[in-house]
Amino acid sequence: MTDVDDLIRTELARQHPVPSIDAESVLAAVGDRRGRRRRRRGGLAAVAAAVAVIAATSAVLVAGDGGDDAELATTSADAVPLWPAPPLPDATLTIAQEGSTVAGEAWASAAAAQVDAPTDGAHVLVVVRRGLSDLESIEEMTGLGREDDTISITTEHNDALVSVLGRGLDEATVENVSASVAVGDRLADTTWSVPDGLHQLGRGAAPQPLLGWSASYVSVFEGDGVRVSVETMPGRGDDAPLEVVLLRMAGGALVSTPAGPAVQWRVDDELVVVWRTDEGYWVRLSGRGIDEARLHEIGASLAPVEDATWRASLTDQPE
Amino acid sequence: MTTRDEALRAFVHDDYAPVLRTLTAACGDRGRAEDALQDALAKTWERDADPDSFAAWITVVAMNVLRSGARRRSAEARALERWSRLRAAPAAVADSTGGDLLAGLPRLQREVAALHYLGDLSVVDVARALGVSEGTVKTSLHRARRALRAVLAHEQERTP
Repeated sequence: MTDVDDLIRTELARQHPVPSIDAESVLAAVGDRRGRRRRRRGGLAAVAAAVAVIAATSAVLVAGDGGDDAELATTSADAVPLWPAPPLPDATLTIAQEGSTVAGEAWASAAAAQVDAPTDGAHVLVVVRRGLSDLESIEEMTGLGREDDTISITTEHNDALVSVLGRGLDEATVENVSASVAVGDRLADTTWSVPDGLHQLGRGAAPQPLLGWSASYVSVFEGDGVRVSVETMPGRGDDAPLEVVLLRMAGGALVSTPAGPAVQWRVDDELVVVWRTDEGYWVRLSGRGIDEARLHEIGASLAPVEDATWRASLTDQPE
Repeated sequence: MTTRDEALRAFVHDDYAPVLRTLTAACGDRGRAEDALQDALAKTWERDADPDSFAAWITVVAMNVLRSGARRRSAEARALERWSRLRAAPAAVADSTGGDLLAGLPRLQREVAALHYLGDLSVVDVARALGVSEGTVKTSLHRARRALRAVLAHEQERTP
């Protein structure tokens, strides 16, 4: 040890004397924190249960407004290779959320603390929407565990819905992710809640169970939009779910967003989904538990809507 | 064999205060340090950490909590800056580093110096606590030592 080290140590010790504490008060405070952590995990368990319900019923949303059965007409899907699909991460979890605001700006931020190692496929999204589905802004953080892993986002709309979401995060990683949402000058509680997608399933058409039958859905929309269609091989009995998420070109990079419903369906179902959204958004198909060879058996079409109106078919209606 | 509860009680009675001092020096704010330390204790209570190394483990977890909070405040400050009507707000969330010896150091150097000089952690342990390489710790410690030496020399010159 050098003289300089001694000097520094002495000066720091002088400036920072060991504080006196009340050990029992500290233990009581820690006990309170343990209680809050248990309650928060209770919320997390509710999320996991809700996600399991989706997978079990293969609920599918045909999103959009303005279409009815009378307008449905037959269409054919473009045969293009399926977008290379990375492994589907774990279900989206809402880390923090503030509901629709009544007035004023909102902002949110998320930060990932040091984790043991960057978690492949895990990312945190801060999403700002207007209403239930219109994407206003989105920021994404990947490679959790890096030094500068913070994101923040601001909206000036008074009906903003701000969410901080995590995908591909296990519980241990989530514990190292902190998030906050504020509306006006009020910092909202950081809470766990049911993923937004569950709420959106009830919007537009009601969720349709697809178990046991095969159907093809296309709705009719006007205006900008994105279409995704999938034709699978019926009768293969593969229960592996697929998921559709919206993507946006952001600085040349693709980012995913839960702004649209994360639709899941069985491989042996046929489905066409049309999302009404802004131009510039694309759609990705992801498969969980499906190998590449199996994916190639699935015909898919991913294309921006070129025409204002899409015609659709509803075939093989359930008994 | 020491139970988890016994080890944590022993930590609070014997090691809580000195660890709190180190964390306070590392972040410059007693309140944030205490918050992080109690959060770390609550987490450690639920895990199978080795009761014999609670102090080291809790220090690591508390530093993670502190650094996470610092990043969040930084992100919030940036967001607040974008609020034209709240341009003055970032000062309210800035670190309250005060006028201590470590106040002028960059964050990493401050943390390294606090853990090494006040917490008596070795270079290896500091690297583990901060999740950085030993080389990074050595470099930061060298720069911190150089800067602190200059500060101390300046203060000695001012002392009659």
